[in-house]
Amino acid sequence: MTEKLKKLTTANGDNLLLLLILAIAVTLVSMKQASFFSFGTLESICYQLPEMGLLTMAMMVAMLSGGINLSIIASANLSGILMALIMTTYIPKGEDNAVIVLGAVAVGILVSTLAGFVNGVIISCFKIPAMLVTLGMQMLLNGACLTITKGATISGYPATFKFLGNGKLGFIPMPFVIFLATLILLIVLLKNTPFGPRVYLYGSNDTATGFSGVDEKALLIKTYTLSGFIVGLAAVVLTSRFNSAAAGYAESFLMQSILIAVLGGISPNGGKGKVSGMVLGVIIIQVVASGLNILRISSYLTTAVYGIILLAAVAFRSYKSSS
Amino acid sequence: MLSKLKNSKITGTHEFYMVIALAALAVFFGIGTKGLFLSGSNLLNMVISYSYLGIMAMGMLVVIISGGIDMTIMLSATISQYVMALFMLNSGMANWATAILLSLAVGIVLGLLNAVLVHYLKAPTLIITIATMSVYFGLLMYFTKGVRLFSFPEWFSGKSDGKTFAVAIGLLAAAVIVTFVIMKFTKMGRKVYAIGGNLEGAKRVGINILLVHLFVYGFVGAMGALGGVVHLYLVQQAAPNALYGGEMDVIAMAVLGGVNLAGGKGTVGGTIIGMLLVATLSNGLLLLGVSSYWQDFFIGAVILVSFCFSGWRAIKNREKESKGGKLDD
Repeated sequence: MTEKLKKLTTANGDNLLLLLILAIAVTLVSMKQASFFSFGTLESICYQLPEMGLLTMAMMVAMLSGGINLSIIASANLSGILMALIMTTYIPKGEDNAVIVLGAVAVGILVSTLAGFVNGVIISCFKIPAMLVTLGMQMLLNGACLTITKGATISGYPATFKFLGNGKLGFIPMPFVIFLATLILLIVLLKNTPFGPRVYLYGSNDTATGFSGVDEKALLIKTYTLSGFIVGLAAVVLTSRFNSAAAGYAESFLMQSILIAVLGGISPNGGKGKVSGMVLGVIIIQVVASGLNILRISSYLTTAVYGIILLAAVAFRSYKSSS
Repeated sequence: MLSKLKNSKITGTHEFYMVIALAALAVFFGIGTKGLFLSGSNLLNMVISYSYLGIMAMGMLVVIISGGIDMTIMLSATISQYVMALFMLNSGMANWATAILLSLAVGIVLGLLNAVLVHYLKAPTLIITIATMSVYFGLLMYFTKGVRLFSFPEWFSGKSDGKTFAVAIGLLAAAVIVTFVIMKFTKMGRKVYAIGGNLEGAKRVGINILLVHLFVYGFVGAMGALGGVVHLYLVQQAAPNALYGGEMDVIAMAVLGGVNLAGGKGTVGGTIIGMLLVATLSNGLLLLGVSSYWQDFFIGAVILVSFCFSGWRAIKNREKESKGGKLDD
């Protein structure tokens, strides 16, 4: 019992620490710009946060199982390109057709889900490290993006599609609605279905999972398919918000999604990490990004700063796990 | 006779199947391009233009054998290349020896930094080197502002066929021989295999893991830098973002050569075959007139298929082993 209690406080201590970091970040940013502390900022964060949040969720699922998914950005780009292609081909410019938009969205989500499924099949059936499989998949999907677009950008979408990334449902930004819905789905899957504990178990000890009678193959395929499905949702939000699609978009998001997951307490070695921690991680990075933006830090220096934050997060986690 | 062949050591190896795949591809492209692909000058040019990636693949091979990966390799190459370019443009002391030594030194220092982080942080090397990659790339682009450097002194920029051959093929051969000797005949080489095969076991027999990590990441830094030298010579221009993203090709070469499965495995010969496979695929498709956009797609597809194949063989072998049959790997 005391063991359980102790575990509970240390687990929450982790989130408390993240809240503290968030508070410090918000204070620092609002010291530089007083208007940061306003409804407008909150609203713009609600528009910007979902894309990163969705990609991080996709990364998190793979990391919980002890793997990683390096194909998320390439996969999101391919989905985006296909959606854009369908919409610009079948809907005349300036017009709108909700049915075709929905069809395009379905195709986009399906393609990413399928890529995730293939990842899962190769990782589980042939026992190849997730890192290598998803790297190969990234290359293949990037190649597909380039082959389809020949390097060009596809833009100009119907209003229905723009709504998904820029509209509002009541007073809540639409991307945030998609983010919340996915978050709830993920929490339910991890907490209320057998899938959740199995992923955590597999992540912390894959051999034991095999002996405990869990079908490892099915588990891994489900994990990466889910990861791919979430990437598909991220692709919808990204494409709609960018209002364009091309190969090689948002490549810096790959590192950021790993950074947020690790910062949020998802163990890079698998088996540990909570959704709540990840959400706090997303918010922290969003605030840091606004801060760096306000300070007019160059985007290259920002990349370096993110790298340093990731190293610091990894260092902190390994220090904690050894003490 | 047939069963004898089946059980022989050569035919069971991953490299054997890769050679067959390579030969099949070469014949296919040879016929497809009416012999153009197989002409001596094309093959020579192909190997020369992929030599720098081959050099880097030697470094990647060693890291992957040790059970890790290094995503910073292209940045070791770019940063050391940039430093070398600045040195050549600004110093009278610059010649082949000093330029290469300087470049190697920069690469090794960057590698050692990775080694320390990999050793003390309990996280996958992938994540650590992705982080350092971002730091290196961000700082490089910030400080260089993306400025390209060119018009190097005559001793470096004056190109002739013989010189190009000596630089590209000579340094590639040097890298291959050094890697081969280290991995095959030195204690350090055995230790790299040992920590990749079983880190815990290696610790228990008293191997100094920090030292091995320093060697491995220092070595990959050096190979990155050496590849950077060759690349700089071939293109005669140091651009901070020219090589960025190319680490995939290098990893592909090592992985296609059979180093992938779980660390502790891999050979120099396999990686050379991997390099030739990637080079053949890109060059052959180009000669066939296939748009260069297809290249990544095909290489990615070949990698995934090769994973499935080698994974399938590993599983087969394990089944045979558990049944008490003869092992053929």
